[in-house]
Amino acid sequence: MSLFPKVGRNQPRMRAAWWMLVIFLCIGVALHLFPFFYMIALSVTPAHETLSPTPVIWPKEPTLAAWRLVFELTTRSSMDSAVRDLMSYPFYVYLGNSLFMALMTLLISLPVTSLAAYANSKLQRGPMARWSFLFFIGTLMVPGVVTLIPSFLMTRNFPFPLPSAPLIPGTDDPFPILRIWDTPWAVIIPGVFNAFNFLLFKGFFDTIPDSIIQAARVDGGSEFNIFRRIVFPMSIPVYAVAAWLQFGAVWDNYLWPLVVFQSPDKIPTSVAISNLMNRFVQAGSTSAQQAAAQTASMREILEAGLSWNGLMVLGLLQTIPIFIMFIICREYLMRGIRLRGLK
Amino acid sequence: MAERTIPGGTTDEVAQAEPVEAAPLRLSRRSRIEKWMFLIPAALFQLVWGWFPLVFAFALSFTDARVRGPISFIGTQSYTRMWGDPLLGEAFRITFIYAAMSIVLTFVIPILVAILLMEMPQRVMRWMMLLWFLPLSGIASTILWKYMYNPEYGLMQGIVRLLGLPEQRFLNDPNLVLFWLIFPGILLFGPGLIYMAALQGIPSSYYEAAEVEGASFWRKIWTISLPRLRPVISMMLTFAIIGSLQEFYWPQIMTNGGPGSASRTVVMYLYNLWGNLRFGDSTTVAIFLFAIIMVITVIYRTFYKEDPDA
Amino acid sequence: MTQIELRNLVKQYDAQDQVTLTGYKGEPALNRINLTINDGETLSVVGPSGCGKSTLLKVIAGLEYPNSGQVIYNGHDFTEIKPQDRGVGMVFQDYALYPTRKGRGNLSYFFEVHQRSEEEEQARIKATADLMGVDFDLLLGQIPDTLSGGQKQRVAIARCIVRDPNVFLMDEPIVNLDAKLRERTRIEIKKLLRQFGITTVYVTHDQQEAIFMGDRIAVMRKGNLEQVGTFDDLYYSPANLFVAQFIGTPPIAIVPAVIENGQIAIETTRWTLPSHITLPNGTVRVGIRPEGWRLDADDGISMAVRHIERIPTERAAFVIGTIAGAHTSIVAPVDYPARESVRVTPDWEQAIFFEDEGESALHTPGVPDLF
Repeated sequence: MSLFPKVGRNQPRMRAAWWMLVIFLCIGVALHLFPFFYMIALSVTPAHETLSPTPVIWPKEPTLAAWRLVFELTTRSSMDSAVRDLMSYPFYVYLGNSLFMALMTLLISLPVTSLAAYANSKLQRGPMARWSFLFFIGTLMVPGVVTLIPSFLMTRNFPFPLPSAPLIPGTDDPFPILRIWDTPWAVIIPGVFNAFNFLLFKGFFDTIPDSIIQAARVDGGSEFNIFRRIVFPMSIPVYAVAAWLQFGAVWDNYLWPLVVFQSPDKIPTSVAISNLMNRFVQAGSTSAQQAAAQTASMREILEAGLSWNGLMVLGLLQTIPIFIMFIICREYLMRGIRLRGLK
Repeated sequence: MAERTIPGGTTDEVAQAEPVEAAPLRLSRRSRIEKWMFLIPAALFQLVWGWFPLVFAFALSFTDARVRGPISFIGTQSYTRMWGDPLLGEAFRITFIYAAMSIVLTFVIPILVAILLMEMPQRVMRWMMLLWFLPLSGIASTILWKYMYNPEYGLMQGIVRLLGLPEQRFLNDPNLVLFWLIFPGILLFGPGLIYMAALQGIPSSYYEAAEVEGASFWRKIWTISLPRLRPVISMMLTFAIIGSLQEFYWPQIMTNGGPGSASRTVVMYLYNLWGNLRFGDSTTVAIFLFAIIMVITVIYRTFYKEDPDA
Repeated sequence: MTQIELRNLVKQYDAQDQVTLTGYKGEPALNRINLTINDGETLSVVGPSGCGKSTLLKVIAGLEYPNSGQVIYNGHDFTEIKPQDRGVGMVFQDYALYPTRKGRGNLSYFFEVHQRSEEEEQARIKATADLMGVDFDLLLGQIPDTLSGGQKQRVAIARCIVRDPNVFLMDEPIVNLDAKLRERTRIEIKKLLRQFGITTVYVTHDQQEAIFMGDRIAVMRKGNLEQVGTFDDLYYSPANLFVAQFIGTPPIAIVPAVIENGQIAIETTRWTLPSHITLPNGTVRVGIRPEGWRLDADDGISMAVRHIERIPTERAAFVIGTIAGAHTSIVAPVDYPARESVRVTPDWEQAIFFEDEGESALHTPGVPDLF
């Protein structure tokens, strides 16, 4: 309450300004929440209404048909062959893939990244610390797409970013390679070290006074124990934020899984849903008539009863785990902040 | 000069004097071993998946690599070719416009809203903070906005009709496609929390002092809130610049560069080249982009010199 | 039962602006320190900011390793030994309590790490709590965030003694408390130290605190140990100008003078030196303590009085002025009448003579015989 003067607050002009501010903020929040609301609304709209030229905010006759359809997709329990052909595999397969990749990445990445950040912040000093920091951070500056090709090739012929393994000099045998392509590990392994999270952790660890660590050293214990017992409990909020960010990044990741997976049963939900949507609507249509001229695939899907409403359902499904993760992490974040006082 | 405390153990040399009685060296090097144990896994991953591909990509830019077949070193041919490539020039032009619009429209609002939100009573602020950060999956966003931008039955078209304006082609309009791509970002107040955390640190006495001097509402914002936010804004702006120049996913999914190539950013063009198996050229483009980002960032930082770290 | 000896300790910073390709430039943080701390003694280490006293403490503790030299505990070379194995207890300037643990958790951490038995932990915590006073139990159940500075300090001290250490190391422990609390805590710490009789190193920048706490005092400057000794040693026989000026409040007056054949002259006034003080002819600087002047002396030099600072609570006053360009304070009775100028003579028996350029002392009076 600092921008508004305390005295004279009840003057009409002040109150007017105050209420204008409130209204402005409420509108802002409403606008921000609108997409959610709209998606939910659309998901219960009958298919034909979603295509009507007059926009609907809330359907005249809400129906759960789309939800049911997607449920059938999930369990492939529908009798209708058209429905079954929409997705090659039951939805829970994709869900399982996504969950496995996201959670596995978190499990490995958080310890590895945070311990390195701790070492860089508290155990290294001088020029060595600075160079290490740059070493870890430097790749943030580069667009990810640059390393796409070599990284992709490496997943095929680890550790050689080449189309095929080179021959061992002097023999006719190729080098032994490791192929993680087309497995979830192709997503997990490159994601283990996360430079952005490193930055986050290091920034936080830097704020811990050195004297606390020194007191712990006088008390005793290995560096790891000091980290485990003293530093880690203090860092819960940062872990919460890092976990949340990384989960979202892996869960929503589209391009890399697209590139790296070939078998249709291994893809995550992000790719599966996007594929379905792309079959439904082609991006970059150059004329408005194209929407009316339905392509074969679109017709297919529509015949199965799926329209935008179903897509909205899928979109919501994609969002829900992120949402859940958000709630969980926010809990830890709040708990941690309460413990230390807002920084 | 203030006395500095020196953290942790450090290097040591062998004692020059004869030790009185050497006590057994018990695990004093253990801290150093542990330090390396902490660092090595991360360093390995970063080396293998972070730097190595980068270096390799750099090397690729000097070749005419394809997926299969021989690779031959062609030197800087790729660079000269891409330098004169009109498509690349167009991509850069588009990217700059996109980045500039994106920053102007979507960077300022969260700051303003964060400042204004501080005026609310505590409970309201808590709720608002929660509601703002409700996450929406990127994929879901694309679905939603694809629908909203549909010229036939999309919501945006409906609003346009409601306002009595002529029908828009939205994402199919080569002149306005960039604007429509950025529009959804205006509604999101994303990084506001960071600004709010920074604002919490300003003692109210600053504002009270300003009030005694007779500062108006906006003046207080300009002279107190914003300067305090300067380091945070600077950092976020750096990220925003670097990020927006590399924009790929959103325009790719929404328009695939269309209509024509009106929304094809540099990274999208790069991806395109890759699709055409012109690996060498595509990494060359990446190098160009990287160089430009560095130059812009350096220029920005020298003009906006700020205390290192808030 | 621990005697600590430091031999030839050298420590360099390895901060960025001090390392060049050919080695370190800039002053070392510790420059060939040789020091012995006797068993059961409390040594105060005092000096201006940046003199290296905290660094010294850290090297004694084992938190830092010296670049060369040795740290010897009871005849054993402990230079490379980790702090936890040295049996030290340390109190930090900012208390350094573990923020996520309550008071009790802060004390018990040591036992958890060394896998001591539950009973031992409980017993020691109880013993320490009894020692710290009546209301200490309350502090045990609280998180550091909710405690005041003084309370945090008590927990920090308790954490130091709960493990029954051989050595106490204290790094400016009361500097962050407000003045009143500082006075009280000072006394409490001193009582504790007396009670335990454990070898203690107490670092501070406040000379009065150093004098109060320490059996002996070590004065440091820029990484060098200027002098070690009891208060009397430092006050009456300072090793150099710096020590003379550092110890003593109000500060000693350093007046330029000329010696000629047994006579000493400050500006135009001349005195005869006592016969046992032999100094070569030439310019010198004379250090005279506030109590080393005689007021209203007939053979004195005239000093313009700038003002008289009266301290009724101490029943004393200081007459402040300038002699030959040197700031001078002179002890006077509390009701000394105000005046424009006064004639003063130094008591040459108490005066300390320093060379003209440089800092070494040419002659010191030594501890006065009072009886």
